Amino acid sequence: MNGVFETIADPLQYSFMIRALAVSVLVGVTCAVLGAYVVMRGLAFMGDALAHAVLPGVVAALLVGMSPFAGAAAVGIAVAIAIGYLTRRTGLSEDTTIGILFAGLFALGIALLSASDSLSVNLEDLLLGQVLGVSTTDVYITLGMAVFVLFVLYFFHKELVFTSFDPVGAEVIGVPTKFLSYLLLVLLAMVIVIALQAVGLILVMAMLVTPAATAYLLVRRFTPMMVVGGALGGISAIVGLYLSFHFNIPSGAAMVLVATGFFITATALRRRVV
Amino acid sequence: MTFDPVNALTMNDVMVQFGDTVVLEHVTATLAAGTLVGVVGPNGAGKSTLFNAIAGLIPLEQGEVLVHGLPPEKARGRIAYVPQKEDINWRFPLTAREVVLLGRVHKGRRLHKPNSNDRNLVDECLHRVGMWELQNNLVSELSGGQRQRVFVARALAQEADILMLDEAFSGVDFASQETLVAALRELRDEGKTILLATHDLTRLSERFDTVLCINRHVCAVGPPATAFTPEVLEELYGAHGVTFSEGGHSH
Repeated sequence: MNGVFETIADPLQYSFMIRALAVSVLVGVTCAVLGAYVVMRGLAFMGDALAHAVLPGVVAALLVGMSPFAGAAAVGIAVAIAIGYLTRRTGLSEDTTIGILFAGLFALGIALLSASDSLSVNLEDLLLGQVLGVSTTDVYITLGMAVFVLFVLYFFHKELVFTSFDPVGAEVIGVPTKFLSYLLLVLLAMVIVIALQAVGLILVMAMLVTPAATAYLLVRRFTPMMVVGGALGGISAIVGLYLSFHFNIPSGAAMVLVATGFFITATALRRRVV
Repeated sequence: MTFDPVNALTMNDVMVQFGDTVVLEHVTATLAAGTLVGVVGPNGAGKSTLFNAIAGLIPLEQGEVLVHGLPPEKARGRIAYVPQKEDINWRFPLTAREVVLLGRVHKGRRLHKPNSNDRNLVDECLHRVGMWELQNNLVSELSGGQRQRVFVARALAQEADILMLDEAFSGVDFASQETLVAALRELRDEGKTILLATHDLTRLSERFDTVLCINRHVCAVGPPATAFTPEVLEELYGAHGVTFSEGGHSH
């Protein structure tokens, strides 16, 4: 067995590992910070659905030679808006419209992928992530999108907190609550897009929900919950990536296992019982 | 249109419809500034809808609402709203103090951090409703009456002219209801107009200056002693309501 230093330093001699580490940390932190809203507003199912629904966007973008980011972002944002529209239009409950769009689009993505022989990507990479394959451009795109998401959360912090706690009171005082609900969904779509490479679309939900939920158990208030969640998300990503390197586990699975380990530990340690 | 300091709320033949269902019709009333108004009616009478119409959250099928002489969309910020408890996300981890600070959200510029003025005002509002000692408790840990007082403090921090509380007595024990009413009376004495919706007929005449009885339309409006006739009660609650109210008055 190597020493601690070698365990940490060895992987860093590979530039693909440094790129993977950068993307993983950005994804881990951003997912968890936004995840504080996902947890407190009950958007977990929405997040999971969006992650699956972007598949046709990714495949279509690759087919026409565009960046998968663009395809996924376009479909993600369209789905986020369509869910709100369909819920109001049909009078069905939101989880039903989410379920319909989620399954329908995921099926479309699978069909597109199977029908095109020319594509070099395989389904497994999209489902489980392939963080070791990210390019330098991917790192910059991820950085740009992560900074954008975090900035928007900071910029609208007071309003987002108000409308998440008391939507009616917020609307009466003049907070644009409908705009903010859509904005959160758009941010969710963006975060999912950057998380696809690191953890794959099946496990995105865990990166959104698990570190934020762990933070909820550890601190009492919302803003500290975002900070602690972000830290846990980042640490889970780093530790997960190392586990993935040394034990040859898929990176997404390793990160989610670490995050889940933190959650179980926090549950066991928690004194406050409501 | 200019600011009208005398009439806090004017409703002229207000009609609200959701799809084919008429929820409110022919609602006409004028409420003077500086009164404590009980908005009384059974569940489903349209009390919340009336509040939403006053706040400008829903379109009117016909008629108009004026808030101090202004259309609701021009009166944003003048109205503070305490929703019914079902409309609040209680899991959201905010302290009592943080909730009061939300009342300052529309003041100052974007990214503006609360300054000493904001902090002093929040301190004062917490003191005034008797929630100073519990300011660092999460609102989820507070009792129903304490939560209502935190929302009243938020309305104070907002520096609103009109305060609307929807079903503010539900889930609140009798003693805490009285504490809440005492706090609201103080605000009334400073010239604020307060509308409190309730289906609870307990001690209406002691608690409110004016009652606005609605059951889809205005059944009666005026001082509780004169507005609250047995005929009005029957219109609101059916024959059963008369005995219910007498039972309520007896203790």
